[in-house]
Amino acid sequence: MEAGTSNGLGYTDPASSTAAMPSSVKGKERGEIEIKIEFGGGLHLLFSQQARHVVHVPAHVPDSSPSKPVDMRYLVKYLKSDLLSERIEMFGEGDGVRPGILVLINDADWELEGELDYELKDGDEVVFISTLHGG
Amino acid sequence: MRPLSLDEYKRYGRQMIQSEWGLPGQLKLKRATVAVVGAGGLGCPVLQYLAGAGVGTIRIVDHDEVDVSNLHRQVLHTTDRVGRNKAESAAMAIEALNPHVKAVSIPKAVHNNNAIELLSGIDILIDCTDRPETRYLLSDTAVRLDIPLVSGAAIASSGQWAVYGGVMNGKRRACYRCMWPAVIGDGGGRCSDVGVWGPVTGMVGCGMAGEAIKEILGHGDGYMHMMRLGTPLRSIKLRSQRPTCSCAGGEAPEIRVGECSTKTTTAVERVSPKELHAIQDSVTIVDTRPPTEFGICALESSHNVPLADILAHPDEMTRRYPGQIVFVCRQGNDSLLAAEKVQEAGGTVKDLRGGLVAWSRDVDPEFPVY
Ligand SMILES: [Zn+2]
Repeated sequence: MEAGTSNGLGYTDPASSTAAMPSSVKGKERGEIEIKIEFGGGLHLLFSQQARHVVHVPAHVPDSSPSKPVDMRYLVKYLKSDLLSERIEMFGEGDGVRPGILVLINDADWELEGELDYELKDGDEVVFISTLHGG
Repeated sequence: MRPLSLDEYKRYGRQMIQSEWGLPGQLKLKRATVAVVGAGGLGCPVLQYLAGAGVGTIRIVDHDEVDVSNLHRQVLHTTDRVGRNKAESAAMAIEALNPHVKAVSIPKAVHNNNAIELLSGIDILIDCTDRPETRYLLSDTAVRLDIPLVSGAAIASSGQWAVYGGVMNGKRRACYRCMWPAVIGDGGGRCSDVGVWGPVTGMVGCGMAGEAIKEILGHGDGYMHMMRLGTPLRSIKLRSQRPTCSCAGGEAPEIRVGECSTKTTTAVERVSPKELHAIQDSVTIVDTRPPTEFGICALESSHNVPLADILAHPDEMTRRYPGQIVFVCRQGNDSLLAAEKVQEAGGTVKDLRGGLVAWSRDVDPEFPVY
């Protein structure tokens, strides 16, 4: 991206970044779980230039029967429809994310966690990151 | 016959007395040949620690010359070596640090046709470059030579590093393409555009040197490390080889960079620095750089409106500045983009060709270039 838009890789004061964690939605309601989201490697440019988000999603996939716990498939769909500020093809491919985006669930490569089938728990942290090139 | 000279026993004593190291470990280092591509912000600390530790032979590949703007982070180069080739400058620093190391400087750019020739015969390849195309080329070369690749990157206050490829515990590790099959956007930007903390390139470079030494000693593991000043280090287990990757016999897709940049088709009138100087008092000069850069130096009577704000509301510019606007930036790329967008929105615009760098060269030599 051009200079003038922050690349989101710059310094953040640890105190301010944890205390004032920006929230995308208001309070958590009954039947919802809270997920921390972080975009690294410049991917935040696709999400209103904001590296950290907190989202509240239903604990169970709406209208699923039998009732199904919410999974990464639901979260990725939610990010595309509710949080993404740029063209969908910059981030998504099919149900998932574009090749070149590494997804970490609680600091583990999501490949080890079942990828889209991973069932989310309250408090989970999901990081989307792409590779850097400077040197 | 002693395997090391008396000076080497003393020189390496503090590392050799550790149980994971010992004399056998020191001899492994002495027999090793590594290549470091890029003697810049990452390459300097990598070279410094590998040379200090006693890696026997180090090839240094860099076609670039030392610039004074490198010195805040490229700690092997010196003010009096500005203008010299970086590989040669780094080799001089290594020879001064440790005469037991054979430093071979290769003042060339690595490309498709010479990569194998320049890099064959090494045990580990260390990627300290800054262009995505070169990074994928080095990964493909390491796969072909069947050696591990230590690869790192740093920009602003963020960094990443890992060992890719090679075999660990009998399993093939992911190569760089396995982990990063495509580049998203422009990969975070370049140090010359976005800036970088010197200590961050140092931290990533030290991490890379540590990984290279672990590989040589036989203590390699499979983690990727991601850092950002002010937040804890993230270390994640690297996946194993992707069966569809080119390192496993699959296709190697072409790497495309920077596809998120905005393109326009209108032609904007561009002026030279001298032409702008002549009309300076009758036009509005809008500087599209970020406020931090505007705060470093700016043209008298120019207005600062950062590029992102202009792109978000180009029509607002025509309302605010109804007369002739001349857009300027550091090198003339962002300002041109701004000028095109505002012209599309009905504004009367010109753009300073070559930016403030050209202004300093052609009109005011006292204007700082950074
Ligand atoms: Zn691979």
